Amino acid sequence: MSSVLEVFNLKKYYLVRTGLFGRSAQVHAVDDVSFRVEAGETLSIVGESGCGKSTVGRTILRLVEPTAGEIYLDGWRVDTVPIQGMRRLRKKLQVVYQDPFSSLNPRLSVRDIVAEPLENFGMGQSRSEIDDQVADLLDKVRLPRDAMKRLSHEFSGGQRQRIGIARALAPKPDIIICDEAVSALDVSVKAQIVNLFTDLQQELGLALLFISHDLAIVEHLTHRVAVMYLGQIIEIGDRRTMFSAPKHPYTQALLSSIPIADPKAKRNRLVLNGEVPSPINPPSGCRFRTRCPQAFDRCAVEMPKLAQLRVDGHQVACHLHEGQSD
Amino acid sequence: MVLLNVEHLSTIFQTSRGDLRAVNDLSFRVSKGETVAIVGESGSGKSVSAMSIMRLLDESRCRLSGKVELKGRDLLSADEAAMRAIRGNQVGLIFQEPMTALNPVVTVGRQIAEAARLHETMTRRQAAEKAIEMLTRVGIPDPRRRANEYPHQLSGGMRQRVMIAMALICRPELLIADEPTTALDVTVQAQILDLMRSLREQFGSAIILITHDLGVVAEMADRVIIMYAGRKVEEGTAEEIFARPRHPYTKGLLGAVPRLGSSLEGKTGRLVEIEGTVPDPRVATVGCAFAPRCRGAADICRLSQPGLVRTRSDHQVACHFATELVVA
Repeated sequence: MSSVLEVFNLKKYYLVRTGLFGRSAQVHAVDDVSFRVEAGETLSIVGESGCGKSTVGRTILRLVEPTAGEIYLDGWRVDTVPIQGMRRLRKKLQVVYQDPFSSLNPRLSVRDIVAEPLENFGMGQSRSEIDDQVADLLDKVRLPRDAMKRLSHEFSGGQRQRIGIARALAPKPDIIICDEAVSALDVSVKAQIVNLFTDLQQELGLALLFISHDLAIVEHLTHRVAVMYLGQIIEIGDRRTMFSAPKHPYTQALLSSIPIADPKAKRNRLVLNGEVPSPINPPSGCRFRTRCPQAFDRCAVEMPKLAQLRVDGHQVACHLHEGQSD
Repeated sequence: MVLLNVEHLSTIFQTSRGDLRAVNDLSFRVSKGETVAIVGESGSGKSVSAMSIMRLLDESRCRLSGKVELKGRDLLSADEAAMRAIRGNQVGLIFQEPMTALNPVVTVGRQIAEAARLHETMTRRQAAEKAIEMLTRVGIPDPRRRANEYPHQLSGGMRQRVMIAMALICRPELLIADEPTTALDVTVQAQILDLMRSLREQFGSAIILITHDLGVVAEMADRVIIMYAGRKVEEGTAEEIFARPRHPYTKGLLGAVPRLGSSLEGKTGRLVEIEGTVPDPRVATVGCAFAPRCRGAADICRLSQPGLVRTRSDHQVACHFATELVVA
């Protein structure tokens, strides 16, 4: 397998002014994040609001400039390319957003929305050639071909999300970043779109970077999972290990917090105290220690590093597990 | 004892494009201390029915009909002053987005105290003390300091706790919670659900929980009402609904939600899809509103609206094939 996307030591700090006298402070939105996505694979980034998962996606797309780090797409460095040069790279890298109501231009017909990337990247010689491609793309996302002539506002949320996916597929990307792409949809429609992503990946060999807070959906469609907390990846590994034997106390609590749709299910819930601290002054040492039921002295002093465990490439950043690493 | 009795409630909005039937012939009861979940997707009428019960809609633009009784007292004919006395006193309300429900320029302590003083005679000082006591009970750390803060200074989870404190300060017999945890992160959601459970025990309030999240339903509800296109299509005890759903829509909903742990059981095949989308409420339907999306739909479904049928003493379904499904 070859890596489609590689991210090394990515950082994004924002400068904010706080208080009456405008003292400036740094928000550590993303703090030293590294991962790779292999061809045809789905990597999910999960975490709660403010953990930096969306910022990771936005820096890869260069919608925000990273503070530090390196990003490679098919082996080509992305983060140092002048912004004009991103055009060529964006052909390989597409995005689907959460809100299908604000991410589609209401004045354009579905045909024009889907055709725009084709025209931008010179992927058709004539109008009819582009029309044919648009028709193919609508087939791929299971929309009727007569949708072409209509405006996006005539469609429901789920159908609009299909239009957005067709647009993302148009330039034949290697990877699509899905930023909460199914979160806003109704339950019955969400299942349709989740199934569509799974089908498309099989048909086209697409890689997906699936950014989501919904762990049940993630478990359903992902190969690997990265869990973020306060700007850092605290655990990353295969779906199986992550959902059967999560190692980090935060991952354990996160998984046990999810309500199970079965009134008879037995739960051993780990309810965390408090809430995520501010990323402006993150806690010293391990960032999770203020809410961790198992924190000890060392956690306040030393930041645990992501370390490989003996099982299938699973990595965790926690002092409790250091003895088990190689 | 029946606390709330809703019979044949309909809510019709008058719009420029014709009448919109948001709630259609809805009947249900809530007993003392019971938690009833109303489940549905967007446009199912679940929130509008709660707003109708509490008379919170702009009634110059909509028509309510049917009967809503709170402990035998008719609410649909009550005047605004009477409703105001009921809201907050006998019935507490919690909404999804606490930021829009709280006053941004008044400290949270004063807002809670104000709610207490509206319904009970007490001095300002007593009310302020009571507000702090409530903030403590809903698990806000350092309540004395927090009482002097404004809503924007609190996190989403804290604001939701403030809403709950305000809703419960008069020990209402009924709490209506409309998507109370939808805007929250899961670890905070777990805290709030825990809190609602423990307060339910302490205060003995009945709860109407409006949600689309079947996980939350399974954790909280005694009884479940499934709504589709403004109508109740199924009702039963939580155990019944999850173990033996009868309506094709309910079955679809339950199959559409991936379960945590599914990959460990090798169940990551396709999710159940309910084809199509929720119908436009402005278009009047003949027959069953779910028929266009239903795989088992027959001619009768497109011609006549199925009535609610009891399949067991604790289970009602509105489907022409409800009784046959029991045998199958």
